[in-house]
Amino acid sequence: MQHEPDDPRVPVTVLTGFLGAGKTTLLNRILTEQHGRRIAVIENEFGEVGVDHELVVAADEEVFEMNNGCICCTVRGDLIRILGSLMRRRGRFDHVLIETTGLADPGPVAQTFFVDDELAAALRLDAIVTVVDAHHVWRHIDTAPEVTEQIAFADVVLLNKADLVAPGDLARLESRVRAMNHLARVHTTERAEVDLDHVLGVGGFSLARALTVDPGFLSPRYPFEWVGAFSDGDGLVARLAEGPDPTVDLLALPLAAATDEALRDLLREATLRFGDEPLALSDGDALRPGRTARVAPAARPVVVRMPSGPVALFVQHRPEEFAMEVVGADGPVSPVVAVEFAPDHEHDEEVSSVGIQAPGDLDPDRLNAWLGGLLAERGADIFRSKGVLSLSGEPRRYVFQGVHMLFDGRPDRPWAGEERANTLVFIGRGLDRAELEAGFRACLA
Amino acid sequence: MPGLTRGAPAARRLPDLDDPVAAVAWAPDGGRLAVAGISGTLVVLGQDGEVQARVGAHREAAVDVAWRHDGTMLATAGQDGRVRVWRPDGAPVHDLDAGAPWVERVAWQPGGPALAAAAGRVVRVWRDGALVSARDDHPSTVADLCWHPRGRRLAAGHYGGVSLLSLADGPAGRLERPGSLLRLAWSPDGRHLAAGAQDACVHVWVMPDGRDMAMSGYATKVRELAWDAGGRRLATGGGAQVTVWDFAGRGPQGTRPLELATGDEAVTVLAFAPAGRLLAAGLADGRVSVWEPGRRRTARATWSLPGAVSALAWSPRARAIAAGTEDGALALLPAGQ
Repeated sequence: MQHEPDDPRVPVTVLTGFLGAGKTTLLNRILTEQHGRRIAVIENEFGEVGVDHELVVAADEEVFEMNNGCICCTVRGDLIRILGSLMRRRGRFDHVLIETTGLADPGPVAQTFFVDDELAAALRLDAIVTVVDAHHVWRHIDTAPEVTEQIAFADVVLLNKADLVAPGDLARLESRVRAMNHLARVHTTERAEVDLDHVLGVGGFSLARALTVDPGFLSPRYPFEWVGAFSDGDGLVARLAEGPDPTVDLLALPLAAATDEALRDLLREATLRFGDEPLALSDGDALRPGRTARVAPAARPVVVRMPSGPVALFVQHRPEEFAMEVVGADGPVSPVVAVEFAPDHEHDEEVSSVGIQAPGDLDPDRLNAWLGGLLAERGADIFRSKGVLSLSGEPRRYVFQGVHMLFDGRPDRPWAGEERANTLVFIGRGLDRAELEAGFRACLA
Repeated sequence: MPGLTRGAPAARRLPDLDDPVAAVAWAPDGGRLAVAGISGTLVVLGQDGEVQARVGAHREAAVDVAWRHDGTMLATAGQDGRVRVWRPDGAPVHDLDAGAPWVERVAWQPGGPALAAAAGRVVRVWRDGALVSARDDHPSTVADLCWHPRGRRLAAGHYGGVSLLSLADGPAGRLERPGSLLRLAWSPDGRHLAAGAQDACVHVWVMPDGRDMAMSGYATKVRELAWDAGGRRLATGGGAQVTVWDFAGRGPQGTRPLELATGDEAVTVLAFAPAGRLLAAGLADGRVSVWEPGRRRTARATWSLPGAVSALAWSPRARAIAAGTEDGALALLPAGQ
């Protein structure tokens, strides 16, 4: 089991999950297994702790808005009261389990431990554990925001009732869950049978624990989804019709040769250029090499002229979404080579994880302005954020985590025997990877 | 043993409760002290600190204790959903269902026989063990109850404001206020109703018209409130200092409050003496300090007890303070002028 070495605060585990997913089964399993912990349970109003457990308190899930200027900050008033009172009996337990109702939003639960000083001094949020009914979740995953939020907030996801699901479906569910929340540890269970060390003492909110993210997740993603190589742009135009997004960004870069290799050589430069403020182009304007342009095709398509010579045309979205055609004097022209890239996100409204990893030092003031502004403006849609950062002039790693708009960060240990680098992960709804990467990149010193 | 840090008379340790102290209350004649403990115990001590009664009052934590105005009975509230009424010798009188699992507060009517309790969203009022009023329509859990000093009205604080109840006429209106109210205090002259809030501020309503004002800028939520005997000064906690607002004249608007330093230690309880002008503050490190606000900025006396101070009560003639701590220590502090 992993311990917080010097933290005397009582750990708190939050159990979430849709009705019938297996929360109560897991809760009873935790309470009956021999694990040497004395656990106080705060169960929801419909809870039914099935064992004769001595310290069980029923909670009403009273969500209170805070009026201290934090627009989206809500807390669980009942937890503040109950936990404040329970802490007077702290000799009787050494772990707290909070079971939420199936429809509960984990946000206010987590925020409670950030906002209330008294609780923050006595208790530490260990992890949010979300139990998912692997058999029935497909009915809800696209329609019930509670399900996606509970998965998005989780430090640990149990795909329960796995025995009722075909292996292929289970793999599909697991990859869906990982796309939504790449920080969570995912376990497959039957009847909520899980090693308790996977759900208690997880340290999901611990700043001391370094961010661990698998490298595949952080492999480069690009702010464009398509590039096409044309042997000569002279006389060619790109025509775009109305699509699912109001604008499309385009970038033309001179190309050494119309080959796959030559295109790939340009990826880094194109990524950098996509971070620039795009130049708004109107119908009939010309694309300037190396300058990212933004067009807004509406009911009337937009036509822009290509620069002459061998050229690579990078497009933010897949061309078919905007019925894009490159047209010459003799009609449509196909690219000599075209490459598609994995999209940043499946759909704007979806919950996803965005990971950024980059070497280099960050300017603390710019970082503060960017991250502060991002969480203030987009905090309602960003469920969790975490990072290990390299700040210029700071010999120690800077670690942070956030829940919605609430942010907690500090320097921890010195960088030692490792490359100074930055790793950030955001989990949220409608995250724009390109925007986040551009914002981050602008903070590099 | 309790330490002594300033030239004040020594504290007298009372028998330890072996149980974190939840509340202490003096009988109106000052002859007895009732102590409620977190494991559900009620202890009644006599004038010389001798234990006159010790009963297991509640199956879960006892959270509050209060004496009837004539000293013939006292009531305890527990997290077992019960309000229990006792004779001073520990004989049970009534065992009342508060209507929800956790009782937060129990309060006797000033000068009257009515007993009120808040549990969950429910406020119940009994007279001689018989239910005379029950309201379960509060928008959230009622965090505190406070009687008007003349006992005609009862204020219940919750998320979003204060609900007023008139014993004669039932519901008597609501004072709206965003945020979660944690503690109420009606000034002894009945002119002001103060509320400490989760949002690190204090609201005060001018009664009976309900005009209100807000004092903000506290470091933490405010659960520590105390009015002086004349209803002029309101002492507030909410962090590592005591802030005293002066309601004389046009105040406190446009005035600077008095700030009493606690040496970076959080204030946990405040109590003004029932006569005179002394203010006692209990701190998280076990100290109890007594000030004379408006006269001196430094504490007149400071005692030190083991464990965070969880309960303070001045004896009726303001001669001594009974103090209890989360470590179960009890002491009499000879704080009178």
